[in-house]
Amino acid sequence: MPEATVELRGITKGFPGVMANENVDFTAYRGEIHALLGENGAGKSTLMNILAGLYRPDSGDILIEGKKQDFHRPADAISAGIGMIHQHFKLVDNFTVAENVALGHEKTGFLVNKKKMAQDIAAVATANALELDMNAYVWQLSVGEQQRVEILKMLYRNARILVLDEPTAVLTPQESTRLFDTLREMARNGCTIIIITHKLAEVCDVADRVTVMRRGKLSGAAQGEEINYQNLTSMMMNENIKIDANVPRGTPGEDVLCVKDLRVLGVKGTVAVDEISFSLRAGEILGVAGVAGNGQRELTEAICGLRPAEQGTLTFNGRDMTRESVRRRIDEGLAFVPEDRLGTGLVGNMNMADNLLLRTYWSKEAGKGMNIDYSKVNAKVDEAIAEYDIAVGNKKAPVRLMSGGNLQKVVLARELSLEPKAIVAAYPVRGLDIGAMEMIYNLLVSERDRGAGVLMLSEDLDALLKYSDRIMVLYRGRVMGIMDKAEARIGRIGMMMMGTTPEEVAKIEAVSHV
Amino acid sequence: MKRFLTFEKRSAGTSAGVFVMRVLAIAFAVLITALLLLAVGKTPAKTGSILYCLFIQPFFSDYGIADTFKSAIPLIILSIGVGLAFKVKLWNIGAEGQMAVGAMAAAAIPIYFPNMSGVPMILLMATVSIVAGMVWGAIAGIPKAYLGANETITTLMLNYVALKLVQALVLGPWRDPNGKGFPVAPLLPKQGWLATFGSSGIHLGILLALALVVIYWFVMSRNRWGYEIRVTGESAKAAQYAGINVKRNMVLVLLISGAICGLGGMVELTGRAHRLDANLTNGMGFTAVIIAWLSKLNPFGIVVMSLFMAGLTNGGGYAQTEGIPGAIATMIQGILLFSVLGFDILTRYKIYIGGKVIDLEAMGISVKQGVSKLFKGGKKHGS
Repeated sequence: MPEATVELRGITKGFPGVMANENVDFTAYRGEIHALLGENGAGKSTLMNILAGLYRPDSGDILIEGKKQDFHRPADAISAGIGMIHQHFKLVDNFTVAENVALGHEKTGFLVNKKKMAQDIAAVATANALELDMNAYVWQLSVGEQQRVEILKMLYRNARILVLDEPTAVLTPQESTRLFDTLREMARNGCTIIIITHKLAEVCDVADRVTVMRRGKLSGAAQGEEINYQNLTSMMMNENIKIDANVPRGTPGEDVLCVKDLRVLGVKGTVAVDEISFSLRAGEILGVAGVAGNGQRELTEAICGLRPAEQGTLTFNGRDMTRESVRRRIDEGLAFVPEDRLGTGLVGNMNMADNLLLRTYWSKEAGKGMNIDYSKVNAKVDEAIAEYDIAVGNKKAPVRLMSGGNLQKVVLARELSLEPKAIVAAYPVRGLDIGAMEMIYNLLVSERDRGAGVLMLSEDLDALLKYSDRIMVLYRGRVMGIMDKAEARIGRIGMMMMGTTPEEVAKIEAVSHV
Repeated sequence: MKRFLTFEKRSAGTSAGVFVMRVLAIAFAVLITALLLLAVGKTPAKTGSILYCLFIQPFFSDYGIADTFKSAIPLIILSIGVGLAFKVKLWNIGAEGQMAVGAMAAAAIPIYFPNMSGVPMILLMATVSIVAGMVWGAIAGIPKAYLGANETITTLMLNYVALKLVQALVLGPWRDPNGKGFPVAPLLPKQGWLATFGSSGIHLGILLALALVVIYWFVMSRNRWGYEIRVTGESAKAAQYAGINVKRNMVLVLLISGAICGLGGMVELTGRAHRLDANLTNGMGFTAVIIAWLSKLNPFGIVVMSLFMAGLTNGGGYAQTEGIPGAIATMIQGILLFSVLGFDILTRYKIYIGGKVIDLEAMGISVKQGVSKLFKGGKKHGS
């Protein structure tokens, strides 16, 4: 029997209005990859944040390697050997890998011996199969490499228990595979690896043991043979959701949106979108694949008028829209579901009524003359709640208290109420649970069937393959290729996401088939 | 590993919690003030009468109340002005200067047109004060929107420009020949004074101040432009996404903010000071920043906080008659503000001291329950 390194007993943690964790038991063993699975809002992150010392449980015990612990601060958890890697990396761009790893944990005296420090860190990296150039600056690294730096940071602090929050959300399939190879190696070396995830495929592939949570409670556990799709889904959802693999194709019509030679600058003034041309037809879903940071954000923002085009043209409904205002584009029927729901798509501190007004507050429907008629808006709130099945405790409460799925439904309720001719949906299901995901995808499909053109960005290639009529791959601000659903394959898309041209892909495929 | 004192973040405080926090803060400040006075050698009796001057007289005596209202009028107007800018996260700390140029512009009217009759003169004074305040706002606002010039710095520096300008005028061309050598402008002609209510000294400016409060509330809760302002203040990204012209609104907000503060200068000039001098603004522009902040930009909160701050300032004046230096009075106000801000932490963190937890929300709720129980009991008794 392997040694239990993490034991959480009867953990309960409440936040005002919600029980995030209710009497949860969790055990992980030395040398295993343990997946903590659950829908969003199931309480996985809360539980792991308790383990990492970010929250204190209301009741319950934490035992690390058999010893009872009381964490007041993250530093307490780190010194007990727990390292948590959050979704958003906490690295200093202008520091080297070694400097980032050592930051806040310099093992020297007043003066820092950089050379020795780098050697020590490199030794830790080699021991754990983390391939990294110690002297490279973080801004030079890919997302996958940055993640490795985060892992190394934790190992250098002697972490024996590693918690990763949604580690593959930002990685390509190839990078994910590589990450899991590394994690496996670390488990073999005696680490305990816990990954928080809601991706079933990933869990089935790599996990030795699974703990499933639902609505703040433990809803099941599985190991070895028991880890399969059907089993886990039923534990997560408590009802067997039918996963329909076949989405009928759309019937594309005229071009609604034409992008020609578009060039857009990024935040730092570098070219983020580099002479992109494509067109989106009415009644189709054009999926966009690409590793995060390859121009997707700038492309969507330029289309919707939030970022100026340096060069090139945007034609919408046959009219040149390159220089038009955001408001004009909305009035012409261009809907936008932005990447960051809270902060751009919604105003967290405002209530639902004010958020439904966000892109229509100037319209006649919102009120007369200079003023807003809230009785009308409140009626719309009720309609939206009913139509989109939005779970909302208090309609007057700020929307930031709502769960991710419900937030996205509010965004869609607003954007779709305009009966748009084109919809730009940037990562519309990011961070959502299966139920909400299905609903959002179905809404986009029915919009397509109504005749809208949908440009859908996603990091989930399975979903892109399932719902898109065509798929476009972006790499370093350029279009690597656009394929029809019939020719799209995960491997092909993955290679193109890494910068392989379609011709090279064809060659590689030809060789591997022989 | 275990520490004596730990702070743990909690969700936002409730109104009951905030109320308990404010009461505790004031009680704490009174206590510290008392200890301070005893420490500098005041007898307990003397300490008591000083505390009476500071905290009771301005709020509970007839004369004190009238005086408090009078002092609160310009504070309310200025706080609404800076509050509007704060709402879009523009840190206009130039209310002092905007008020000064407003008063200056207004004072010019009777100097150059001494024979105008009352109502036209006052309306003209109001207009020019608004324009002057606007200009002062624009000098900061336009570079902010189009060049990214930091408005905190520009509005702050413009204060000194405005104050020195007033000083130059009252020392030079506008100096009152009958001013007994003081650097002051001549007294306004009587027709240029705002009417007062009876002998209280409270002038018509209070109606203007309250009207501004109501307008501010209405614009922020019902008006389309007010909606733009709220969205912009919450998130510039969301504002851009909503098709709001953020830059235009930045300029507009600083213009209006400056205009309101300029008008505040005219109200103080015609309602209370009745002559221009370099001390007319007397730091009110900075007090307004504190008021806007402490009232969390709620217009009705601004009225309450303005009265409170006005009373405190006046109380400091009364306390000087009990023989404490003016500097100590100012210091006591500082203690009170620090205390209020310090106790604010209690609404945002749970604090563990040696294993014991201080949870303000729980305290607030139990106080609320106690009060409502009392209330219900009383009702039952009455029925």
